[in-house]
Amino acid sequence: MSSNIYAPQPARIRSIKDEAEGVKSFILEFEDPKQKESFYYCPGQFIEVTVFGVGEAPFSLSSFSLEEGIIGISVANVGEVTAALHSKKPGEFLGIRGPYGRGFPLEEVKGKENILFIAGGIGLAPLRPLINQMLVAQANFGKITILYGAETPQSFCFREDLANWDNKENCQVFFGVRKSLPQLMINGRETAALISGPPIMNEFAILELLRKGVGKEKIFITLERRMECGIGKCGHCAVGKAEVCREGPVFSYQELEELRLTDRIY
Amino acid sequence: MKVLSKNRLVEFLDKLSGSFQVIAPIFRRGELVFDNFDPDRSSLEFKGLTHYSPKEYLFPESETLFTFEITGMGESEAVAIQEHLSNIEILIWGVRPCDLNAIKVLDAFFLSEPADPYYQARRARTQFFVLNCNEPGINCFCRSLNAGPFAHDGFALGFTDLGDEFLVEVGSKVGKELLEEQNQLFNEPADTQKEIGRLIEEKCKNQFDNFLAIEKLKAKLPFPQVLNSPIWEEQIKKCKVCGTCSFVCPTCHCFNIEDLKKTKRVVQRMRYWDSCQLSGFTQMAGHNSRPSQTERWRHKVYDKFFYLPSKFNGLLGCVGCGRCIDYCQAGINMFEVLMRIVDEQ
Repeated sequence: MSSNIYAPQPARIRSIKDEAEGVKSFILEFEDPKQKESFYYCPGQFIEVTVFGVGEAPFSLSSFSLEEGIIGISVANVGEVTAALHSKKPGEFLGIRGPYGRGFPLEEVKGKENILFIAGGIGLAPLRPLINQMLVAQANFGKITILYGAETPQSFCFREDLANWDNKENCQVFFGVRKSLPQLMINGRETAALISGPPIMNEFAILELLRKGVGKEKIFITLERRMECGIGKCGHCAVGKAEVCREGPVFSYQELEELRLTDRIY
Repeated sequence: MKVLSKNRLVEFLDKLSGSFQVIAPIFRRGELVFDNFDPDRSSLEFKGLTHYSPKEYLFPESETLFTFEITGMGESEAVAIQEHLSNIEILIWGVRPCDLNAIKVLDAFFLSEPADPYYQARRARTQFFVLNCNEPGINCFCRSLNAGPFAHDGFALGFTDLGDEFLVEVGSKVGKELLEEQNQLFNEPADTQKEIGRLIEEKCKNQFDNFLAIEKLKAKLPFPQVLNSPIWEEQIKKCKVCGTCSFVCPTCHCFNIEDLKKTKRVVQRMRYWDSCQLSGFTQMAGHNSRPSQTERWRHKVYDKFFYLPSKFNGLLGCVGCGRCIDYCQAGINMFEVLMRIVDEQ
């Protein structure tokens, strides 16, 4: 086992599930039992996945399980590495590095009356383990509201989860961010929001939340950037002085306002 | 301090080439570059700044990180991973003080946690022999940034050109040992020679036309009127988006990682220099976080003069070597842009 920080660690695909049109979810497993046992991550963190012979790309972790060693990613087929992943079968070989980055700050949202999740398309992937985790430990969190939108009906991800979540006491799911967010009646000061979607949705959601009086320090957003190395060295993912792969990918809106200077956050 | 007659330098480097791959500035196809020193073929140059800085010996333009060898198929598929860490001992003669200071920037970046193993391996096996500057180049502004024209630390040996001989200063334990091993080549300096060395430094410092008020610049950058100044766009509309300014920069350190298929079953994972000035640098599936050249150029300036110092204890990301000005196809002058930012209200 190499201790080289750039070395992909051997892993295999345990199962594959069709998630939505052009989106598949993969459950991966390290070959080395020790790595399998010690793997732990926080929702919002990501891993670098190597398809040997094609390349490496970052993916948010989309599954959370109390059973150790479960590594889930959900992959939209949009590039070379993702296309190669889509052509893989269970049992086939991959490389994994990570987990990397700073995930969603559970402590920061505890004690708020309303927890608002806003997601677009495949953006629901990093929020999914967090929602599951909160629903397990519901006592610590208030009312959970999930707003979810996607470009087409075929691109809605995690349908079973959405139905399950909506059935839970204290949790409600609304479809269509642009439609449901303005109508949502919330006490801004008692709300924390967690956002993950395309830039245009993020911008709309943040402006709407600020209008509703949600504090800048209680709006959390996960940024999508070209995180090639995952460890703050390659330079591609910088927002101002911050490397998104190390200091993010989750930031509060307040942090982003201070950091952005020469960069766009939408 | 010692004195080495100029005509004995070749002999000294030749002796060292038993233990090191010796690199020195030489002319190759009309361009002054760092290359392998060959006493029979190369003539050493004592003037001018090389095209690329010696960063290419610590962080090469392209390098192989791993070789992956794939065996078996499907469920029996496996991959043998071989890493490629350098184990070559290198000695670079003729490193300019600005380039030596640039290595401090690369060190801060690559050796901070988590340390980059490829850079670390090369860095630990590289010795620098500095050549102090007798006169500034036309676009040099190292003096304002405290990065030249003389170096007083961070090298194995430091050379000052006195005309017919070099004044040689010891800067490290390795430097001391290397000098002592070849003691017969060196002489003790006369007091006048030491004094001439000091005078050359003073004279060179006084010859700089370019002076930048760096503290004023650093203080001004966070202001919205500077951030949104029309200067950026005015200057950058000439940019040809070639990335040369990053490639010749001794401190620029961004890279791409890509897999290169050698055969169907053998893959090399490569990394090679990238530039934040190229439009694909921040391109994602569906969006680009720095879509205009103005934004990309402004980011570069902020990164070197504001972001990097705030991360690494005031360390500047620019050493004033002037290469980005020397080699810009569009004639964009970084120094003039910085001066305008300092001067404008």
